[in-house]
Amino acid sequence: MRRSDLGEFEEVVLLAVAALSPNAYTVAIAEEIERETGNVVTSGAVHAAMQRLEQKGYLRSVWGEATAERGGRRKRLYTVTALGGRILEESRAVRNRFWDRIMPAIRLEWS
Amino acid sequence: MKEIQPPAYLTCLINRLIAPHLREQILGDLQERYIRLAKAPGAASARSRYWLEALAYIRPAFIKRQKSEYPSTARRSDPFYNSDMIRNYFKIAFRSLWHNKSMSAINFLGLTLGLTSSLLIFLWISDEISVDRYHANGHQIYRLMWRQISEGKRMAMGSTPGPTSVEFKKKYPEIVRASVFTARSKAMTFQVGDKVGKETGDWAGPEWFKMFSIRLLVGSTETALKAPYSISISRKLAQTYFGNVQSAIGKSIRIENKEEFQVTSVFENLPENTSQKYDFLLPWDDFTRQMPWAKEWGNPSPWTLVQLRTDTDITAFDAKIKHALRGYLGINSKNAKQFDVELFLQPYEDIYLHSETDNGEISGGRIDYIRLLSIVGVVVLLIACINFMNLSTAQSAKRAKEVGVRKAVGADRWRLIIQFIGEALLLTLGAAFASLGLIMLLLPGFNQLTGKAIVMPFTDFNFAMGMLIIVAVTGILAGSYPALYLSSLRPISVLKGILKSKRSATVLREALVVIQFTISIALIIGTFVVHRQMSFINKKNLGFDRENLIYVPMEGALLERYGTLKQELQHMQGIQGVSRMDYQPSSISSGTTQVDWTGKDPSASIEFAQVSVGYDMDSVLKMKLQDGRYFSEALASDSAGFVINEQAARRIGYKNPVGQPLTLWGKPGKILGVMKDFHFQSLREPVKPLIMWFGENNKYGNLLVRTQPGQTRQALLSLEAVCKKLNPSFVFTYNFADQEYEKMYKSEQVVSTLGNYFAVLSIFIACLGLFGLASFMAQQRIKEIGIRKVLGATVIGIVKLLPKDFLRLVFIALLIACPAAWWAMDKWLNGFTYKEQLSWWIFAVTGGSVIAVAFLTVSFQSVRAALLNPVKSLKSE
Repeated sequence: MRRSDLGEFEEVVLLAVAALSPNAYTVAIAEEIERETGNVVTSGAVHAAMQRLEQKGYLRSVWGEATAERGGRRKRLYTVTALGGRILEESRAVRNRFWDRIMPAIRLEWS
Repeated sequence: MKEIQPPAYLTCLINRLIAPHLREQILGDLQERYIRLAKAPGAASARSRYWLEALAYIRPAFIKRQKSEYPSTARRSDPFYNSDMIRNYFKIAFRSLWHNKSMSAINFLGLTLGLTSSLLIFLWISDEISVDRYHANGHQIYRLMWRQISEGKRMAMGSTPGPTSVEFKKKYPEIVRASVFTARSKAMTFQVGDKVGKETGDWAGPEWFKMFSIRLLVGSTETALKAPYSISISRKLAQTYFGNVQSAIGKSIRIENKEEFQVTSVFENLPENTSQKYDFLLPWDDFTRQMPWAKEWGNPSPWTLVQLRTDTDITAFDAKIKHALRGYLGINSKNAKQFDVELFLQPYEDIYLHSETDNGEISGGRIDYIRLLSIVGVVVLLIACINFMNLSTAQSAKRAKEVGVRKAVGADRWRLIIQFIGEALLLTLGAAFASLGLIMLLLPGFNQLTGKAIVMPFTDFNFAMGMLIIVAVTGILAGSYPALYLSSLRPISVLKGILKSKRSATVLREALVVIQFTISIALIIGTFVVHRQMSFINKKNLGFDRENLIYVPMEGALLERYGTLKQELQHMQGIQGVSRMDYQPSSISSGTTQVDWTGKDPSASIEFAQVSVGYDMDSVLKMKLQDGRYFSEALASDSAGFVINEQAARRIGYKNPVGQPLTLWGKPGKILGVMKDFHFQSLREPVKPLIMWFGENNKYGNLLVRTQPGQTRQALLSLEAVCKKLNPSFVFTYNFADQEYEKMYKSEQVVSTLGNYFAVLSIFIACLGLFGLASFMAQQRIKEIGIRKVLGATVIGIVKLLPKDFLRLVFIALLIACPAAWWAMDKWLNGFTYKEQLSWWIFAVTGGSVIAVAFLTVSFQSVRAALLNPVKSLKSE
């Protein structure tokens, strides 16, 4: 696994896209991440991350419908590609394996 | 419901910044985001949040434009300044330059020559005005000027009484520092061990090195020039006599084989742009010890330089010191009418350029030549610009179609103007590079001619800026008229092929040719007159013979044993006669008013020039006596007598001056003879009354040696041998009288030579333009000439066809230039009391030759056109 390919923020964005599919688009994802993390997330940052993910082949996008809210402009809907999905799975597996190896006593100390 | 909209300017900014293919998505996102934010926590925070959102889009990932697979010329909002159009402008510019090779060459050559001359002049001027401007306190330093008013005559000079600097510094709080300076550049013999040499230097006050930014390499500004018998020398002298700077300190130098001076400080060699150059400085006290008269208030001699406080009101201080010398000179309100002295300030940095005085005021000096040459520089460049204008407008037919097409596809006038000015700038830039190369080649010769050491200041910011400005102004000036003219063409008519050259365009072209020739003719007449005046000066009979005459400044044992020296020299080979005089006969500058005679108006104060002379001076200099006799060795009483010149005799007013009494400096004597007037000062001045007194045994003076014609070398060898024998430490130096005389007119000579070159250059450039125009005209009328030939016109008849128009223009130029040049040169010549008259034939010769040159230039083209086979010119179409 080439972990350097996926930054932390990118991973969050990728997860958010997967969670919001098939209605994942910039503004929605930015709001979702903001709600989940409590940090300020601009749509520009999300957009940039998604652009990179798309280049890497983890995301795919198509034009969606236009809404009045957007001043009659279309949104771009993103979906996770199979490659993207596999990367997410892998990263989750790595984490899980480590989680599993943490002794319960230590986790007790944290709480 | 009111529409909620994000701030328009931000949207607009983002719209411009980000790449087009991302616009829809990003602007949509932004707006949606804004509206949702506005709905939730309130519009106020939405606004600041929106800023953050908008700024987040300003990143390279969004700004970078997507590469299109099909590049289009209409991608940008401005189709005329994108890279393709700019490439096209360059391509067309090079093509049209290449297409009209001869015209381009003429323009290029003209502009190169014009730029070269103006850049050379620019270099010369910037060198001239940089002189003496490197002192940190320079702005605060002033020279006290002495203005004397006697019998209504006003005369100003830079010399002030020796004690002034010390006295005034005590008296006026405005003066921070003050120093005397002798400004004599006196040559003296230096001796250190067995090293002997002639060095030039001056005397200055102890505050000298504090006032001026001359770095002391060793020694301190506090002690330099203070102690008696101390000396400050330059790095150069330290290296010559002591090997290096450090070892010079504390050593002693024997000067004039008389006294020992101890080196207390060494200063850095003076920069090239210094007007008063000295290699050593001696304390002022040393000067007064040798010349006690310099301590007196009545003998103005050295400069007084003062450094004023920065907050001094110069006009107020000027007024304050105006009559400051009256008290010291015994002038009161009663006798001030007869003789009064005023003081005024001259900025130190101005001295070099404004060194001349007239009627008690500073009148000019080298600044006049700077003005003159800058006009010449501009004018030569202007002539080259006019060439460009004329040739480009004349050829407008060739570019007219292009202009039509450009306009038809939407170019507006401004774009065309910029295009054509750009072409002119391109050519000028090329010419500028060529002229830089040319200047590199010419600079050594130019330096020799002007006596300067100018180097190409490539890295100098001012030079780069100056160069840039000159190129820009030239290019824009040359390109402006063609650009305006060409861009005004109407696409409908030019594309139809109707291109009538407007009458106004032709008239303007002719006017420009007239201007070119007016300027050139005026320049030629000007240099002609200056040249004639110079050769008049060189040939002028001064009243004494300056050919085969040598001056040797005497010192030490030579003065003490003058009698022996003269005796021995007279028998040496190559020497005809020997005498002495305390000045050089062509520059007797010392004057006095202390002359009395019977019947003198007691209130009158007439200035007489005075000089001391030895026996035989009249025969050695080949002067002629008007009346009486010269000092004679046979009559001992003669030593108390005087010989005066005609002018003096006139002023004194005796009927028969010979034998009449005359008193000089209170010493009574008799007039022995009256010498015919001779020119002992510049020819700018009228001959003044002169009194010669007997000074065979004076402690200073020049040896005057008349050599046998053609035996100068032998005479010099004899001279050196005898001088060395009498004074072994003597450094033999000599001057040729004729060269010394020419030196007096050095700046005129330089300007005259420079003027010659530039005048020739200007007429050459003007003729280049005429040549181009004529060839263009011949080409335009090639069919007409063909038909005329077919119908039986002779070659002569056709040759006559062309030059008529052009010669008319040159005639008009001549009519304008002659009176203008006459007026200007008359004014210049009025500066000389003795001058060559302006005569009509100068104008005739200049006019004739200019017309001849112009005629030849044009005829060359018309002969070529006339000899062309009509079959060739008529076969097409």
